[in-house]
Amino acid sequence: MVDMNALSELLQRGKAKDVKEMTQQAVDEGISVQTILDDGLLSGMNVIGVKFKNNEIFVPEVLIAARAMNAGMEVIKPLLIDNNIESRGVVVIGTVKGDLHDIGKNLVGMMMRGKGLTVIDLGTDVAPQTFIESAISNKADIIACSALLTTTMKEMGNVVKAVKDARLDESVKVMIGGAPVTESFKDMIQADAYSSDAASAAEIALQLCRKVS
Amino acid sequence: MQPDFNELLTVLERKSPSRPVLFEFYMNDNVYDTLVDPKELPSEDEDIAERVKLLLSFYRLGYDYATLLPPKESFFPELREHHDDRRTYSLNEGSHIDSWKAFEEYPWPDYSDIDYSYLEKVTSYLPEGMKLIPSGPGGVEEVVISLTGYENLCYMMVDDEDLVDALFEAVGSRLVKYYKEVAAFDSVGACLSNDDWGFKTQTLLSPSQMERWLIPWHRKISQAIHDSHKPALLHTCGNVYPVFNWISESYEGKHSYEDSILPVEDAWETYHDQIAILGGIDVNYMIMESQQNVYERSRALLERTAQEGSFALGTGNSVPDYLPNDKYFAMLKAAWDLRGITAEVSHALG
Repeated sequence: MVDMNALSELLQRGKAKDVKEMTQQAVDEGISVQTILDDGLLSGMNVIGVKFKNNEIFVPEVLIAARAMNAGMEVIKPLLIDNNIESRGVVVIGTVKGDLHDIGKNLVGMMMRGKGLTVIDLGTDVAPQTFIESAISNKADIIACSALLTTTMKEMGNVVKAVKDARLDESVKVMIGGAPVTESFKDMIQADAYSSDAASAAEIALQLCRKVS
Repeated sequence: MQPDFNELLTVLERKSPSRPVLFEFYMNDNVYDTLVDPKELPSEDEDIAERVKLLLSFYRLGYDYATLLPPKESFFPELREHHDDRRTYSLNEGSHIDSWKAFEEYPWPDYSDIDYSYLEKVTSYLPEGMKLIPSGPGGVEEVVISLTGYENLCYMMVDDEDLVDALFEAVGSRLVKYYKEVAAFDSVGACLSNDDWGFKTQTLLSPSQMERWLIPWHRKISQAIHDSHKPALLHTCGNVYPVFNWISESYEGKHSYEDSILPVEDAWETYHDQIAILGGIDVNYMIMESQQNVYERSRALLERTAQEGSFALGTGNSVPDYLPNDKYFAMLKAAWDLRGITAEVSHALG
């Protein structure tokens, strides 16, 4: 019988090929897909998130672990649909208009997936209206905006305004983050949440999704 | 406004200069065009004219040196093309080396054929007492990332360590050669090794990856500069404090500070006994705060560091064109006032 702790360990070490094989073995042994997801894959990414937040591991190790998680997810994705296992929430994420930085945004997206959230990545240089259209079509709970520059972070205010103009502010929360972004800036533009690091962003997103639903 | 490079050398020896010293990596055309009339520049050589424009700008603002960009042929192809006209780019761009085939096909610049005569040509424009501080065509990590893409490099560090070894060797060995050459010129007073190691909360690579692939090359770069008995300075952004010992063991000065990571005041308190603290007034702070606040913070920092030294005033990173000149000049005025040269500089500013 496949040990879920062993699966979690392999994921944490970034062993994508082994994670894929062990996930398949677990499925073949009849272990429930929910157990594989929660106790194996997400459990492993959760440890990665905590270690990253505590600066015990670094971005390259997170990337390798996330690649391993994706390898496992490829195996169970069809089964999640077959078993009507719903995502814990939907996040539309992107770097704001005028800004092409994506490392931080990608990292936040990986951490959110590691929390069991569905992440729609719109990429970089994303206009406010694009966030809105994607949030509507994907029934998103959260719009997450990233910016690295002082000159582009003001676009986050335009996203908040666009959400209000589209009357989505009851159902969609706006999260912001990035090097120059602060809690006081969040208050100034009336966004719903701010996070200073990727792991915390994923935790906050999960909490917001629980509140929204 | 007599420049004196020895004042900066005193700072780099972690001592107190006789008057405030300024340090900046580079400014922007708004600043240069305010300070220099095109008619003052040599007309026969566009490259030299650009270098002289920077040199005169640094001089007129009260610096004891001018930075000097590397020659075009030293840049790693596509690196410059990606960055020239854009304010923002992704570290995942340019990921064209992801295999040995791509590595071998890449048009590596030929560093045995670089013309360094510009270092002689600009000497006649160099005011007495001033020296040059050449920067590099990117740093070792910065260039490797530009060739592979950041995330791709992280995967390669697990999937193909030999290829990563070869990439760092190909970039690092060229930069060592570059610094060896430029440091030897008499007009050069110090060299700036400009890399990009960190972001808001961490270094981009793990310390063990840095120790294996990056730090050995920085040791060789600083040694190449020291071989000419010149100080070596490091510019790197981000949270590099967990690996600060690696910086202070190789470099005399560290440039680039961010308030959201460690305000320069705290960096000076913690590290000025190990290394000279260069620049530091956070660029975001300068944009968001009033001129008066920028002036007062700069002046307070100069006063706080005056006795023990090991500090030169400047921005936290560089002077981007979206930073209003008035804010930049407010920071400089703190030093000008203490040096008694405000009227003289104001005359140059028109």
